[in-house]
Amino acid sequence: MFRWLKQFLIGSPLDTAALHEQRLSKKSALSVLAADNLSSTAYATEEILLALTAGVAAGLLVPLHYAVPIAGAIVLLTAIVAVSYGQTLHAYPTGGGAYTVAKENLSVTAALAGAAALLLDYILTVAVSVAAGVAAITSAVPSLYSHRVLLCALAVVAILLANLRGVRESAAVFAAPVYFFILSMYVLIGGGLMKYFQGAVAPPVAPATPEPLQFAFVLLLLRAFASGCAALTGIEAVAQGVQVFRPPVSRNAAITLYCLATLLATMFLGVSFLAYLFGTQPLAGETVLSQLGRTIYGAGPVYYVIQAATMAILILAANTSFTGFPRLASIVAQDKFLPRQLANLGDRLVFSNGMVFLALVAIALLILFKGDVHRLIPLYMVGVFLAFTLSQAGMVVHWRHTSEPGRGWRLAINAVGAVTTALVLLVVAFVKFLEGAWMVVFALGGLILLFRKVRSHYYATTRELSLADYEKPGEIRHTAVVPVPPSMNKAVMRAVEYARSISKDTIAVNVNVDNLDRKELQEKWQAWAPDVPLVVLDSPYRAIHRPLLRFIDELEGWRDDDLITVVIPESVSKRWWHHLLHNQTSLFLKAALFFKPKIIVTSIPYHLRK
Amino acid sequence: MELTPERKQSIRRRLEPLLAGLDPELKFIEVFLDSSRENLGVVVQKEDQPIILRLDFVRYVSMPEAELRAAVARQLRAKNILPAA
Repeated sequence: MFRWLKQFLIGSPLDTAALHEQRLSKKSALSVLAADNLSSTAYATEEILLALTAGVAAGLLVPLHYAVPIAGAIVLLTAIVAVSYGQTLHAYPTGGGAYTVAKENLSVTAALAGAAALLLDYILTVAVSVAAGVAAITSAVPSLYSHRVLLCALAVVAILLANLRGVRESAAVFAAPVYFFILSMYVLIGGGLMKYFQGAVAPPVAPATPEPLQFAFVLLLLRAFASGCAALTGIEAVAQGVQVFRPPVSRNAAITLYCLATLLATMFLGVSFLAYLFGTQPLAGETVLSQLGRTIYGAGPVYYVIQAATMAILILAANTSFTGFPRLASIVAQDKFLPRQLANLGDRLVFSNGMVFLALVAIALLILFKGDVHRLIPLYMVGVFLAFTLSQAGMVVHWRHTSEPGRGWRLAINAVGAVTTALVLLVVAFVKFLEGAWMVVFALGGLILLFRKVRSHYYATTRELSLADYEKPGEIRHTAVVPVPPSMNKAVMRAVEYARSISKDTIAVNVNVDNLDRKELQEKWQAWAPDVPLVVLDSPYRAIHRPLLRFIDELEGWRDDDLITVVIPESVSKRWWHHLLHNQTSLFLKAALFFKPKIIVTSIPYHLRK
Repeated sequence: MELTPERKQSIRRRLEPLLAGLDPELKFIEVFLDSSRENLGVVVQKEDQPIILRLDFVRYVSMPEAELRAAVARQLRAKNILPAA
């Protein structure tokens, strides 16, 4: 049943030899890796306007046209980051992004900080993008607003299932909506510009005299800039997921990255400029893009098509994280800083465990924040720019230690990238700190600590299991204990027979919960297993496990150098729902005994035919 | 290894009054012998706490009552069933 459902949902397992077939062309990879970055054009302008509007509310005179130069500055920053990451792709075609670069050139702590920042970024991206996509739906259909958390969770599960089917299949599913969004944005921008230059709308009101350059005003502009930097999130996905590209991977990844940066720059700047031209202001119940679409095309089919494309890209932005997070987690897990299960390839040659983990954490966040996108955005800006900075700083060190031709200008590019992103990191951390960025600072610290704990656990385990100091034990003596019910049956007898076969010291134990006649129980037992003593324990409080576990504890210390094997008789039902009709005593017993060092638990199944 | 019913009964008859003298709540449950025939396991119970006492089977047979009582009491004290002397 489970196998059938799994196969139905994610498809048949793929041969490991087919791994190279899962590589993507530039066009397909762009749809997988660009969704996150491009989707930010749907809300980055709004974030700037929201920050500026907050200034107006605080009594500052801040015309919203400042959004355009702020967007310009962010586009310039995008160009710097893209060119810098282009160098990373050239030097590290195996991927890994900030983590790999920092590990090889800076320090392990810096690498872990980069990994923590990126992993956190990917988790938050899923939560933010899905929440934003659902916000687009609820903008169009307000009656769904009260169900937004459920819609968010369903969207995450849908993306998870698509990704579990494999990279190629998810790329095939998600390519159309991504390219459709790109087209719809250019239709919006083109239509808006035409409408404006045809004189269909009044030219923007001449900007009022700006505030003098006082601290609060500068802080407001910096806050708007920091909010708009959300546009850059996801640009590192190409450097992270370079291994999804067909060879030559570096070249193909670099071309894709530059295409992505160009698309982002034109779309983001275009939307910001339109918002200025049309005097759009952020509203509580409607997104800026929705307002622009309605103003330019009216509430007709084109508007709804743009809204649908926006909703799709916002939700699909999460798809990029489902490519990036499991890959990065697998690299970190290979270095033993994360559980090794995250390094395993699943049936469809994707890191399924990482994907499932990502989905669960993202859904938990969405429930925690009740699907409110604006409350989540400040959480990941710090992490994103920390990763950018570490990656670029690591590249500067990398070029200093190589003798490759062109290392001088490559070093200069990465140095500019490192300094710029470090400055933005300071700005973002400063202005976003009280909005929630402090949580990220603590989360990053906590994650780095966790990584180190995981690694030290693996190290300690390896050292303890090492055969270097192995001493062969003497003869193993052990006592077999068979917990039995009050009535004899085939499953019990099979367990007793097995116990007798492994130990001459076999003891059966029954917890007399129903206060049955002890003599009668003993007589029945003698008829079937006269050579095995039956201990009938009283249970004045009707508990089965407590007296039984205490008896096993006692037995553990009864003889020196004795191992205890608890042989549990189990009847296994044929149908899954039959299990619900039986007590799960053996399951709880196994769980309770699992952590006892001198106890071995053996389950003797008796498979029922009906 | 199982003892004969007669042997079990005789051990029970000897230990039950001894246990009652130490703590009236102690109940004799079962007795068994290990495969080496050296260790006698006596299962007693107080409320829902089972206790296994270990006695040297060879010595048990000829052990004076006072010594047996002291051996049982020592083990019960070690398991915090009886208060420290």
